[in-house]
Amino acid sequence: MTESKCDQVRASFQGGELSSDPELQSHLEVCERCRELAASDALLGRCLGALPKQPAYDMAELRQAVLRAAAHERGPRAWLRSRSRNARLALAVCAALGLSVLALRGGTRVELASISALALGGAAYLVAAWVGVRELMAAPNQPPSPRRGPRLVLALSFVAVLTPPVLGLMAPEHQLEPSAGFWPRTLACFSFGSVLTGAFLAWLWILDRRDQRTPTTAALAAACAGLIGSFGLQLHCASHDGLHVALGHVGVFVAWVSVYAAVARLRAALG
Amino acid sequence: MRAYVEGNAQALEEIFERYAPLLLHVMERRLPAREDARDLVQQTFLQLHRARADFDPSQRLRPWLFSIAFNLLREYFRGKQRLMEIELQDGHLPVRPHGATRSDAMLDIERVLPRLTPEQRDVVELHWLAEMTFPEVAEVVGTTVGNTRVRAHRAYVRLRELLADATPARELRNAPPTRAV
Repeated sequence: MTESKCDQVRASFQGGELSSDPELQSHLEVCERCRELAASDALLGRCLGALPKQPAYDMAELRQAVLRAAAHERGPRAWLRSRSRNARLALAVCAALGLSVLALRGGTRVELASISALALGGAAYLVAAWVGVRELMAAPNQPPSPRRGPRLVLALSFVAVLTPPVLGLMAPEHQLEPSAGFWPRTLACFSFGSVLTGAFLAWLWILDRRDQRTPTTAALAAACAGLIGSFGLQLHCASHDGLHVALGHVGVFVAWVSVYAAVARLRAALG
Repeated sequence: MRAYVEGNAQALEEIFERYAPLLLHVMERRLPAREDARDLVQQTFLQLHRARADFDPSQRLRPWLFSIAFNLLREYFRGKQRLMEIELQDGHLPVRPHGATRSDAMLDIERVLPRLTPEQRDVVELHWLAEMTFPEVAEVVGTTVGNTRVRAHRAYVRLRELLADATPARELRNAPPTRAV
């Protein structure tokens, strides 16, 4: 019986509140161990409760700084990033679709018979990019996980690196023989993909509420934009040439993520 | 907050008046430089301003605001990689005046609080300084209420151990069992 009461007292402390149950209170009178526990907790409670709850100096200066910063939040960018999370996600999706249509219309690809393969690859790209953008636009009160960001970058990298060769195998050969040589074609694809990636990255930056990006969030943003750029490239050019795909298509993703993450890391290191 | 979401700029001032002193105080306790604490509080309110459309008016503002602040704090520590350094600095204490009537035990609690793990310290300070309930603390630190209570319990056990080294045993014995932590 006594042991059971001791357990109840300990459980009460674990729960954060000592029960006012009269039986427990009378138990405290007879059990020295529980009384000592209660006494030490009472002292601890008094000490914690007596911690100063106000800063030691005037808040006027900070108040002015905050109100000034809030007043500076004007203009189109401030308006866009003050939209709700869902609205900003919708704006990102619209941008991705717009860039895809642009790539399809401006592309040299003619074999629309491969539409099912494109749809499959497109789904892989767009779902991966969606997951990444959602993470980037997480609500500000959502606790950041130190592991989630790097894992996402890794997962997006797999999609970006593996999808172009797989799609290349699935899609039929070009109907028209390209007239340009290997390097001009590869550089053209790299440039086109970079334009698409850069455009989407700029859009993400406009929608971003952070003032400073960590290296992980910078890499994640570049990875999402790189996926949209790679998708656009796939709509633009269906090459079976492994080296062309590696340098002209996958290279866009690798270059943007590497450069963006390296610059963000450097900026973080320099403070 | 509802008025603020609907575009009443005056509401931000009221929110600041109500929560900024406490928020700044909690941040000051965690950061070695006062300027850094002020910067984080300013960033917190700026994030609140930008994200006001995401706030659900049926929820409480205080846990939401502190969640933003603690996320920024975690990013700060992760970016600067200072957390480990601060934990290793045994004598690290925020500089602030103390009242002349405060007992040695109360000064000791200031000294031992930084020796808790960051997770335990988050729970204890949010509960006792910000006067949040455990469900609110759980919302801020991003875990369950049960886990929050376990963290708090472990923190109290650790604090008792640390205080026992600094507090005379008779003071512990003579203290009346007024309220459990």
